Amino acid sequence: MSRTDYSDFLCPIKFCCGKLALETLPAELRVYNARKPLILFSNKAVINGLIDPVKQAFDDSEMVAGIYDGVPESPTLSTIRELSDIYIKNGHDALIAVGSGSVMNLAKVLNIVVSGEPGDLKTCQGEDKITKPLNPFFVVPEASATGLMANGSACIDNFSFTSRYLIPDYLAIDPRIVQQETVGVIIDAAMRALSSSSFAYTLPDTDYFIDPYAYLAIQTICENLIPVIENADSKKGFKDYLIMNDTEKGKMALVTASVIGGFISFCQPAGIVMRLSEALSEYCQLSSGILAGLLLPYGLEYAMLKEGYQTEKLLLALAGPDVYSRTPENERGKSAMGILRDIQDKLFHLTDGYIPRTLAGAGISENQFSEMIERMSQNDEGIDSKGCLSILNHAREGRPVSDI
Amino acid sequence: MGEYKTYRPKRKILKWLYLYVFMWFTGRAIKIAAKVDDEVKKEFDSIPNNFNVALEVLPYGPALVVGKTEDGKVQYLGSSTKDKKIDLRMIVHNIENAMQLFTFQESTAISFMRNRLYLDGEIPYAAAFVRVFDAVEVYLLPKIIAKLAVKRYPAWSLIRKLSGRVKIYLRAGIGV
Repeated sequence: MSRTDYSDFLCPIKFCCGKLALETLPAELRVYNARKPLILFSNKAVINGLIDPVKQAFDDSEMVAGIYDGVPESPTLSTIRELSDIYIKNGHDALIAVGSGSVMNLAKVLNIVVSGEPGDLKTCQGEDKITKPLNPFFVVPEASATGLMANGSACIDNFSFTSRYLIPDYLAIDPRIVQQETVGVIIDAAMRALSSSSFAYTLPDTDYFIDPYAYLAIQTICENLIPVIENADSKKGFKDYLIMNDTEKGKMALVTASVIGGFISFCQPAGIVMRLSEALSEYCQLSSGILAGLLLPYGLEYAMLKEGYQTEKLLLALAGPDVYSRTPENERGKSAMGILRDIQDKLFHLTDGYIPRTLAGAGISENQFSEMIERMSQNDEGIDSKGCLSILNHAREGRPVSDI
Repeated sequence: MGEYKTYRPKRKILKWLYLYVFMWFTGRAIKIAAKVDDEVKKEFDSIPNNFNVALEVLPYGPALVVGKTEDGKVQYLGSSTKDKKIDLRMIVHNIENAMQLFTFQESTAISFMRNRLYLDGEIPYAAAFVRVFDAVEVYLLPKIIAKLAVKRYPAWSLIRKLSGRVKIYLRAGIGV
């Protein structure tokens, strides 16, 4: 195994995952000397009934919390202005974001404004322009959380920010919060994390720090995704109200893996699969995470042939040390791809065809590829058009990439 | 657009009352156990005289304060840490964590491991106090429940367990 001769890594988040994780919020806020948090809920979090469990976590604490319910799907600068007025006027000293997607983005940008001057938004734009730590920022992700909330970037209107100070201080994953999601949303988040972790794990030069995180994410997703989807509709028994059942544990494990995947995608540049799936999602009804899962084996095969990615290593994370050691060295890459295709196949059957096995099954025609790749290369000069086309064509027919 | 509201936390009175009664009785039981059980007595011998230990729940209590006097007697000092010299504090982060611990859904060791309670003081004395606490739970609770509350259920003789249990229940109830 070839190891890189240079590596840097930063992960300042404290994770708390499990039963009563929400109840740890007041105690953790006290650690940061915060006494009056502002809790932001996304619209979806309100619909999913997440306000009550979060509110109740503050019962019997001495903290008076501000609650803002219904952060819109596409927040603008005027939302930031309204919320910063609320934050300052009511004397809040910390932020907690509950939900996924836009609420996390908004909370990060809001934290820049309320931790300094409103004018900071212009000066802090770009990479590493934030020069001091911001106010405490906690996140409570839903099962649909992509993991991107754990990274240090945020974007609102045309402002984008990247800084280590945007990374949340504390992340609580509680079974009461992650239970509410649909199967499609869970698969989307898990496949997105699996794609970014698989690419990071099989890099030609193994990274000292990314490697164990990626291994953990891949292993967790492989162990939990199929059982969680199989039992997604099962009713809770009496015992399940007392002790957490395997599906609840599985969902929490998947959210944890998504967070790790999000963190990996912050540390590593997006692989070809993620970029292709983002572009493809504009041409069909499927989300980029689901498409990333579909493209993953083809993208990895291409990366192995073209750039020397260590796909044989992936078998260790996907199937465990027993299978890895009894598989001949030259067969390991092939077996790993077989497992990835097997997962896709099981998802296809479990979701009655909602998760496609090929791009043709997703309703994407061959004619759309060249237009899409052209648009991609306009935004990204480093894109390998020929390679992208090859991956898409193979994924369309469900044919492994064996030559370039 | 969303709506802003202020949420004033409610008190969990029933849970607080349960913990108050549990800790009050356990505190009295610790005092009696130090007289009737040699193992508990030995653990208290390892703690210096004029030394007070508190097990308390944040932020509103209740607490269990036990101390050793100047002449080495073990005393239960009440359910509040206010105006008391405390040498060792074992602090439970919140009432829900305390309920996990004192309804025996988690043992003391598991609670420590899960960061549900933390320590302010010397570790050897805290370890001795946890052993005392475990022994008292073995006396007070039936085996099926006590097994959940302690790290390892001790292999005590039936006579030791029953005679100790009767003495502790009677004397802690009466308060002598």
